This record gives sequence, structure tokens and C-alpha cells, in this order.
Amino acid sequence: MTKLERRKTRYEIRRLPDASLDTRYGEKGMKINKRLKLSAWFSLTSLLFILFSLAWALWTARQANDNLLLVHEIERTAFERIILRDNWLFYPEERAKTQWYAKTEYLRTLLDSATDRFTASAAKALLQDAKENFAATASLFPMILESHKQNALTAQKKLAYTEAQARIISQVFLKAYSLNDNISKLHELARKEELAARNKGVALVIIFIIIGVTAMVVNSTLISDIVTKRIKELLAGIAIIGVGNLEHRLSIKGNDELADLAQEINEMTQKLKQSYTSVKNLEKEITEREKIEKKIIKLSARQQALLSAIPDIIMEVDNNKIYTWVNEPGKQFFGNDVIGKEAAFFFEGKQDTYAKVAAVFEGAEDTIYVESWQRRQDGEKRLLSWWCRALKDEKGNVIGALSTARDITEQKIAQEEIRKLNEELEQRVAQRTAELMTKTAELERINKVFVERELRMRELKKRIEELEKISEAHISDKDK
Amino acid sequence: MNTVSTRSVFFLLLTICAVIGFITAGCKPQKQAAPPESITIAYSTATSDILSHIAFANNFYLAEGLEAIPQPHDFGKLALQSVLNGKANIATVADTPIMFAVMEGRPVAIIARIQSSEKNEAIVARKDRGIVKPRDLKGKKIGVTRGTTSDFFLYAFLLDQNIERKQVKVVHLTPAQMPAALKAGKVDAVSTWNPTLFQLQKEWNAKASLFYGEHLYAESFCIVATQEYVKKNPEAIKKLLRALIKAEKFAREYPEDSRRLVADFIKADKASLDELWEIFDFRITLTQGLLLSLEDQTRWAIRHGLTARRDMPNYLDYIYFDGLKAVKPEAVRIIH
Repeated sequence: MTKLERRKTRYEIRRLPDASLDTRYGEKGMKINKRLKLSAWFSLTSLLFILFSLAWALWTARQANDNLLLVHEIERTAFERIILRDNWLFYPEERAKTQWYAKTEYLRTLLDSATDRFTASAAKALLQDAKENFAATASLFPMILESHKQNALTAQKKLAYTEAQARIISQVFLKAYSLNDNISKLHELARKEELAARNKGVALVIIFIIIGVTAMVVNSTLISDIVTKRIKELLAGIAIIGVGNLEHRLSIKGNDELADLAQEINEMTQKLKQSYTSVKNLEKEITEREKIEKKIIKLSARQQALLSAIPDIIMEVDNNKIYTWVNEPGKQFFGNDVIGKEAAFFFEGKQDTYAKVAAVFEGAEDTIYVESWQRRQDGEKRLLSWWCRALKDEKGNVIGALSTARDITEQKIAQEEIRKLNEELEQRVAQRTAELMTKTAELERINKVFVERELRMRELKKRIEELEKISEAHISDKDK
Repeated sequence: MNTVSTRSVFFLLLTICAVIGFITAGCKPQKQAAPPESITIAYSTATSDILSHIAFANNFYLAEGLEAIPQPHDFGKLALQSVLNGKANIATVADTPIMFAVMEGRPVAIIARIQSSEKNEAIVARKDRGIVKPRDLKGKKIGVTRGTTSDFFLYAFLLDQNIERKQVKVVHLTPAQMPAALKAGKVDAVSTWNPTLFQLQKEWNAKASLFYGEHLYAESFCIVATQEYVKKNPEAIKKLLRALIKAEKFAREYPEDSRRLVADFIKADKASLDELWEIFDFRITLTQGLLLSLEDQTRWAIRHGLTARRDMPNYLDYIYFDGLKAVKPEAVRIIH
């Protein structure tokens, strides 16, 4: 993705609704300075962990080294004790005996110390064996020493070698001591070198850690300084734009987030400038809208007046058949509290009105006619003829129905009466016809009577037509 | 972060660095300028005492706060006698005179061994007197310096050659008397040490036989004082040892300069030092070997009636450990 594409993507993201924007900035909108401080704290915490770990490692190493030294000391003491024993066996001098006893006690102390220091079970078992062996030697050799004391051998008697041989043996002892000394020194040297190398390594690690952390802190500080400086520059630029200088542009340095921010501010300024240019158009548009709104209000009032002036009932229900609007004739019929009540509340008797108008609520475009007996506010049962049509929102979803109704109770009664009269008339006609038929035969026989009767029929028919006209006129008057 | 806080951070870092540097470098307290302590050091002008010579030549004693008064002697036994006679505080001397001093009941305190060698003693014999091989020494007149390492070396050498002491005639000579005595024919051979040994070797060259006994005796040259002195002057002993340790380091690091300095100091031929340098071991120590060597020599002295005392002394009582323990504890190798 190129930089331009990325920028476009960002631009698209910024076109999201405000809530989306808030969420986006909520997740990633951490202040740079705060982030840097967080970084510094993180570095310090890491440093503390490193130092703690290092201290622990050093402490462990020191413990191990002390143990090693103790073992070396035991080794050396044991070896020296052997040499002292040999020394005494050849030359039973009091000095060698004293030294041997001293070494014995020292070795006992060292072994006790080692028992306290070493914790591993294997080491403890080894030390236990060593102490047992030590106890044996510490009790056996003094027996020889005491035996020699009792015999009180002279120096001459005890010499089993010639003087020359004894001198050579003396030199051998001297060399043995020297050799032991060399080995001990070698041990110490190796240990010192190992310790020095380890210390050097640790020192290097510490130096590196210090340098690293120092670099991190310095880096963070410098970055913070630079960022602060640039933010100040941005703020100064924004302040210039803020006072209305939409010609001002922020200088874009580098390729980081602040540069992007400066770029965005410049783009925003450009758009602001464009918006500012179209303010007058906008004002005109607002004026026109206000005019339109006034017209709408006027039309709405007229519509209300018209709807109120129409003698027919006009009702509006939602999808639940609850009345949501009604005109004045409707209020007069159902009462002022009709709003909020279900249509079925006013039904009189069992009826299938809902089933008949179901198509309306399913989105049918046709106007559905239905007649329904309903209870007027005075409690009188009235027959209303309904013309129902679906009400839809801008998306075409059914949101309810608009219906007009007319009270056709009297008309219905008149019609019923006419129907009954017609039936009556037809019966009478049939009867008369039958009579006429009977009498025709009779008239055939009586020509004179026939003519009279014919005339009379014509009069009757005329009379009926007049009655019908009167009835229709009456109904028409009522409707008006 | 504003400028002030940035400065604070840098200041803090600078302070941390300074503290680390201070800790790393160590903060030794400055030495107080006290007047130097006077001490008389009786030393041998022989090549067995090179560290002492370097310490004098380089003013290491003064640097450690000692006004060291040099008291030169031809050999260590004389230096020890000077100390025992109260004419000096410190002596540099080989192990044999020390052993005799102890056997005589003198309150000697060995402070440290400062030099050792297995080739500093030898017998120079005239070939014209028929001495070509060691066994030829039987029946000859051999010059030695009584009660010194040359005396003990002769004993060890003869013993090794299965020659009894009574089968040779021992003539007591100082090192200075030996060249003339050998030349004059007063003796057929001499047992001695350097630089007399080197001098005779050069003088007689092929006309003389030279018998070494490398595994017979290792000479130990020590610094000693009286027990009273070390007890009363422990700080002076530490300063003395520090100066000698400096000399030890100097000899190891600058051998050429050391030889030149020593040659000038003892008015010796530098060429002899160049040639002899490698036979010496310059280390300030207290080793178990010194103890055994003293006992070995004591047995010799007792067996041959060279001392009135007939029992073995405990030489641990004649070694002053505290000084070397304080300044170089790892050098104390004597079991005690």
C-alpha cells in the first residue's frame, strides 16, 4: 500500500460517524509524551529486574565459590595432615606432632562447617562418610604417638637409615611440602583466574546494562524533547489558523506521525477554507429551507383544517391497530380519548374486520372497504363504512393504516326498508299478476273490465315510481 | 519533558556515572604525612640479598615511611650478629646462621624469606691438586665460612659423596679470604657462594672443578629481627615488607634495571648479575620448606656437636607471621 493509499484509507476512516471516531482514538490515541514516559518507566522496571537477577546470580555464584573454596581447603588440609604424619613417622619431632594435632582439629572444624553449608543429600552422605573416616584416623594415629612416647626411643635408636639416606629423605619431605605448596598455589591461581574472569564478565554485563539503560533514557529524553518542540510548532501553527488565517500552512518535517498530523491539519484547513467560501450559499439554502418549512407548516395547518372539515371520520392506526391520529369528526364519534386505544375496543359484536383489513397491514396498495358496527361515544351502536389504506415509511415498510369512515346506519335502514317494500311489492305484483291472470281470462270474457283494470295498473306503477323518487330524494338529503 | 527536566536527567546520569567511577576507582584514604620511622638494616652485599638492594636503590623504604639506614656486611651472618648485638634492627641472612642463632638461644624472629636458590652454593676445587671429580675431595683441605650456608653445603655434599667430614680438612675462611687462600694453596678447594663463587669461577676457569649440589640444599635468604623488635614495631615490619614486596615486583617486571641498580648499589660487576640472575627466586614468602631446612640443619648441628643444645627447637616459635600475614597473606605457606 503506498503512502497516498494509506492516507486515503485514513481519510475514509475519518469519514466514519463520530462514535466510530471516538472509539478509534480511544484505542490508539495515547499521548506521545505519555507513551515516552511509559517507555522510560518500562526501561527502569526492566533495569530493576536485570539488577535483581544479576544480584541473585552473583549471590549464587558467590555461594558456590565459597563452597568450592571450602572443599579446596579441606583437600589441602587433609594433604598437609598426611605429610605431617609422614614427617613425624620419620622424625618424631614434637613440632610435627603439634602441627598434626592442629591440622586434625582444623580439619574437624572444616568438615563440620561443610556439613552446615552443603544441603544436597549426596554431599551430606559423602561428608558423613568423610567424618567417620576422619574420626578413625583421629583416634588411631594418636595411639601410635602415645606408644612412641612410652617407649621413649632416642633419636639414634629410631633411625633405621644412614645419615645420607636420612638427608635425602629430608629433602624429599621438603620437596613434598614444596610440591603441595605448588599445587595449592595452582589451585588458588586457577580459582582466582576463574573468579576474575567471572567478575570481569559480570562487570562487563553491568557496564553494558548501564550503558544500555543510559542510552534508552537519553534517547527517550531526546525524543521527548524533540517531540515537545515539534508539538509546540504545530500548536503555534494551529493557533494562527485558529484566529482565522486559513491561508497559513504548517511546515511538514520528517515522515512520522507528527508529519502526518501536520499534513492532516493542512488538509483540514484547506477544507475549512472551502467551507468558509460556501457559507453564503449555505445561508441562502437555510433561508429557503425556512421558507419551505413555513410553507409546510401552513400546508400542514390547512391539511388539518381540511381533514377536520371533512364530515367523514378519518383515523390513523399503527401496525398494532392502535389509533394514533384522528380528525374532529372521529373525535366526535369515538370521543376525545380515542388516541391510544385499539380499534377493536369500539367493535360492537363479533366481527371479522381485522381479517378483512389484514391485507392492508401486509402492504397491499389497494383501498379496502369494510363495514363495521362500532360503538359511538354515547354508547349507540352505529354502522360505519370504512375505506382503509396502508401507511408506509420512506422505505416502503408498513407503519400502519389510514382509514376514512362514514356512518351509514340510516342509509342501511332505508335500504332495508326499500328492500322490504320491493319484496312486498313484488309479492303484491305477483299476487296481482296472478289475480290479473285469473281476471284476464275473466276479462277476456269481459272486455270492458279489462280496459279499466289496465288503466288502474298504470296508475299504480306511476305511484310506485313517485314513491321511489321520494325515497331517494329523502336519502340524498340525509347524506348531504 | 521540558528543558529543565532534561537537564535534570542529564545531571542525574552524570552523577550516577561519577559515583560508579568513584566506586570503581576506589577511594583510598590519603596517606597522612608522618615523619619517616628510622630503621637500621644490616644487609649482605652478596647476591643473595638482591631485593633488599633494590629496595634501597629505589628508595622503596622511604616511600613506605621508613628512614632505612643501610648497614652493609660481607655476608649475612655478620648482619645477623649486628642485629643480635643491637647495632641494627633488621638483618638479611641465610638460614644456617639463623639456625645457629636459635640453637644458641638468641631471640631471633624470622620475618620472611626474600630469596632462595639451589645453585648459589658450590665447591670450587683446584684441578692441579688432583680434584677432578667430587670423590677426589677426600683428604683435601677445603675452605668454608664457619656457621654459614657454605659450611652446611659442604656437609651435605660430602655426605652425598659418602665422604666423612673427618676425611677432609676444613679450613675456616671468610668469602673475602678464599680467593687468595685458594691461589696460595692454603686450601685445595673452597665451599662458598656468589659472588665469590662467580669470581673464583672466572678466575680459575678450566683450572678448577666446580661441584654443585642442586638437590642437596636450597639456600633460603631471610629477613630477621629480634623478637623484641618485631613485637614492639609491628608497623615498621609491615612497611619493611611492603617495600620489599615492591622490590619483588620491580625485579620481576624490570630485571635489567634491577641488575643495573643492584650492581651500582653493591659495587658489583653487572655482568656477574646478568649471568647469575636466573638462579635466584625472588619471592617474599614463608614456606614450609624453610622450616624443614632449619630442622635439617639443626639435626646436622646436633649430630656433629656444632652446638651446645642437643634438642630440636620448635622453629614456629621463631617465625613472625603477623607481618607477612598483614601485607601478603597468600605468601604465608607455613602450616601453623
